[in-house]
Amino acid sequence: MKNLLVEIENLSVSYRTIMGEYQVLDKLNLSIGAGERISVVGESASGKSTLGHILAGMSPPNAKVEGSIKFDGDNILQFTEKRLTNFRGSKVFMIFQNPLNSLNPVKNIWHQLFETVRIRDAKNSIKSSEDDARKEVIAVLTDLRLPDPESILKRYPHELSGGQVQRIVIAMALILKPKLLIADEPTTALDVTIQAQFLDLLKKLNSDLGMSIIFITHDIALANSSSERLLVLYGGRVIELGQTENIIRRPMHPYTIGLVESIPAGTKNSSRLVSIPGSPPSYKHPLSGCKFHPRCAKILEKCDKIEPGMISVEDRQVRCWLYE
Amino acid sequence: MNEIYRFESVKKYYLASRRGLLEMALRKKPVYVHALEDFSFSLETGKVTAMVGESGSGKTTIGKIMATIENPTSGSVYFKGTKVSSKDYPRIRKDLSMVFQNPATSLNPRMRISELMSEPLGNFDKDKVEESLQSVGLSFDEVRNKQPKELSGGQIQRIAIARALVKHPDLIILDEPTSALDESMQAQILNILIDIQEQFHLTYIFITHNISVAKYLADTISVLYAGKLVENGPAQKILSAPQHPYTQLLIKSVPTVSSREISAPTGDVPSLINPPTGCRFHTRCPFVMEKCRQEEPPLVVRDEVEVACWLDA
Repeated sequence: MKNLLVEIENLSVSYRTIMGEYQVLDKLNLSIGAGERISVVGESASGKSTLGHILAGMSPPNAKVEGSIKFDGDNILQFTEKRLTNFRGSKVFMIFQNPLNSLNPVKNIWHQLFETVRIRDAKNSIKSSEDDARKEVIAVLTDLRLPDPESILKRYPHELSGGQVQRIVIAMALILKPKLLIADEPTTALDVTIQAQFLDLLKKLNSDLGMSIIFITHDIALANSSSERLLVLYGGRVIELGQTENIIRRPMHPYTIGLVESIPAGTKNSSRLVSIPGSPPSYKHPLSGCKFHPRCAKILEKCDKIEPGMISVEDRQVRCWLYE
Repeated sequence: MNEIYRFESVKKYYLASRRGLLEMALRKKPVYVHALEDFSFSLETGKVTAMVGESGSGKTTIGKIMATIENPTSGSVYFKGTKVSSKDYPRIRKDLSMVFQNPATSLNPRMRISELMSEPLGNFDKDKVEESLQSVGLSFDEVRNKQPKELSGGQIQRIAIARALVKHPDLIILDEPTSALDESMQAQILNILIDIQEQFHLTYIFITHNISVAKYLADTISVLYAGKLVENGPAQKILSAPQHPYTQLLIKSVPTVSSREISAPTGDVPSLINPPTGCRFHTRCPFVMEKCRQEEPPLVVRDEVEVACWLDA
């Protein structure tokens, strides 16, 4: 058993708006080991990005968060703002979908990476000279196989390609050496070949530095090649949790089955694609019972009345009455 | 063989920076982006052709030239056997329509669905509108008075497809129609596309970066790299035995549910302002030879597939 890094217990998140309160995550339980790679898969509006933001200590002002998130034994939900600032970056690092948005467009790359070094040093109350910092930054960029690091430092974010900018963001993570890296759809803006390079890089970070990685995506095929464990979210609830390989080879929850079957594998002449009918649930009108019942093909009588809990079956946990 | 479109060594260059009076007075040389270079290709009637490639490979440029949104810089384009000039555009536009990547931005948010649907026709024809909405699985009475914001992403994309269908075109250009959608929605859209292709005997140009979607839908596949056609032929042949190293790497770098291993080519897509000499893929190719750096490989037919590579040449 690996050491436990994060322990999430009964995490519920709701957003307060003028129209009322919407519950986005409901009693989520999850533990993440040190050095583990875990994927969070779900459709748009399944709550997967909310989970990432809360874990990174970035809950929006209108969010009401209940439960506890223990990071290395401390509950981050009770941190003061000052402690949270310290926590972000040094313990947890987040990569966003559009890398250009996470860099300052009017500062060159050197300025931004030097700032990262300064912030890290300020936290450890040491001070490294600008020359040392430059050497370190160049070493990191060389590690990431960025061609001609000296000239890249002089450039501005818009002068780099999408893959290069994403690697600059990774360079920040390498300088800060966080224990947990949260990647929220980091490859959606990248080409497939660059995406494959990026996944290689994440795996290298994971094996070399023992960094835990949470990979948030809507693409179950991508989750397959990027993680050991898989968490499937639907309507703010965990509906299946287990080893990635087992879930994809033999999905149990009807939603996960639909998700795996909807990926084109053959050709149009051999088989038709199976799609999940209906559309994702809306938070405005919460459903009774299982959140998936209006779209489910294997619906039982109690599905629309009582919501199933997490049921342990063989190698995983499933939220479905079929496996009771 | 019946072809709807034929391209003969078509080139498309874009000006990379503004060239105004000052630049002309100073006799600065214009800088061009070589988006498409010596592209020869023919599109068969009634087939689905997938254009596969990374961003900057020129696949959208081809779609735009076909849709007569852009003029080629040089080379000739034949539509249904006759050479195209700009005065033929209105006639060609009647025979084709286009579906874009992001449905929400391609439909006017202030128009109701019935208005949006009759816009390509010029007048409101209830029978035609009803028929094409029905073929994408939407009911006319339910959606007629709605605005795009009231519909989900998948529904809006279905409206966009119905809208492309309403004037009964021969050719539909689909520019990444499913990449903004969730997987379960994508499956729905792909099924609809296959149904209406059979029903109306349509020709599709399917522009995508997703090889598994191309595999599912396409009869023929054209692989583009940095503005050049590198491999072109029957989908089955290309996917089961890719001959060009780029196609091989492209297929290997796509994550699938059946295998966990992916491998990536090194390096980035080259700059199109100063494209590499010789074969444009030589900077990333694992099998690069001396010849590749100097001479550009011609497109030759090997085993029913056109390939541009010096390997086994």
